[in-house]
Amino acid sequence: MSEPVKVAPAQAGLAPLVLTLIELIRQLMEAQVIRQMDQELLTEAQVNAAATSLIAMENQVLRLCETFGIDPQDLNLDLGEVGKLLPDRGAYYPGQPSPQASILELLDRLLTTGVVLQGEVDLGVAGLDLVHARLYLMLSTHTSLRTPPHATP
Amino acid sequence: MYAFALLAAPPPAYVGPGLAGGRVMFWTAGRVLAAVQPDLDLTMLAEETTALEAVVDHDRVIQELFALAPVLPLRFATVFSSADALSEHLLAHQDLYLARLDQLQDRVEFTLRLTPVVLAPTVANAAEGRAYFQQRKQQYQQVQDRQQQQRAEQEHLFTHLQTLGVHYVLEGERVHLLVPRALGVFLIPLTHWEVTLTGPLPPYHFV
Repeated sequence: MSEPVKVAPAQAGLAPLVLTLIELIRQLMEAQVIRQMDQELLTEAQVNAAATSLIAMENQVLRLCETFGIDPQDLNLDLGEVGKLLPDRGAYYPGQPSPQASILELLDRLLTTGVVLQGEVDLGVAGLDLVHARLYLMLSTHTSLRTPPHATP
Repeated sequence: MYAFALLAAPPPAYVGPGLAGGRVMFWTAGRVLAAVQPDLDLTMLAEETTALEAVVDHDRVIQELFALAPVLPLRFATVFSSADALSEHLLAHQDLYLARLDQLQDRVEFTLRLTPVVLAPTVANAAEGRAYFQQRKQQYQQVQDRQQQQRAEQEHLFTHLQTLGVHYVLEGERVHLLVPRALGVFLIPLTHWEVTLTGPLPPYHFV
């Protein structure tokens, strides 16, 4: 097997940001799988397939970190009073209380409960309004969509 | 009139400089006195370039006085409008100040900083299928157990301090301790916390 091509850290460009986003989504999916597994909504085959995919994604992220000369620890961002982007290892388990706030936990809980976002965006240049977007966005999991509101955990 | 601290009479033999090299004097009223710097240009307290140095000098004067006699430290930038106002204040509150100085005379303050020792979970990450997700739960449980041990150890420390007659004030990760001067070792070994102890200090947090 050939050695991976390595990129100098100064040339990594947006790679750390993209990898951070990928890792956030990967951990978010992992949390959602755990929730569904704990509720016994998944078959053994589905659990095995999910684990295989998540492990493969994690290995891919680690390999890309090595290629771009990024310390995997640096993918986690400290956002001050808001907390960290990702929880420390073992600090969060879906559905359990967590003493350390993180964006991942917030997103996981929001997805589980379901949230509706409404807003308007105006894009323009040099004082000219060019694009107007009105957004109605509903974020939820497939599970909570299928579950009656009073039964949502 | 700029004031540093309150003390019981008689005045200590203090000859150190005050703020910006000025002279520290003792203003007596009844049985209480104040360490003051009457001729200080108060504009230096508000100017950014001189205020930081003044804060350091204020603390230094209090610590040097504390080495000579029990003191009630005053906050930085404590100013009385006149000598008469200072005398009036000292006479009105002298019983209170003398009682507090008497309580504090054989005690010193220490600042204890407790930082939790963070250890990564030892449960490995190399399983497949359901075991992969179950390891997440084991890692979470391990972290919860460690945090419980930390809380128990902290509570044990505080109980120990109380039995020694040490008063304490919690301020985030810092704990301000009022320790009898004669007490030698007052901490117990902690395995789940990194400990930083600063002192002895004047009783800043117990006045």
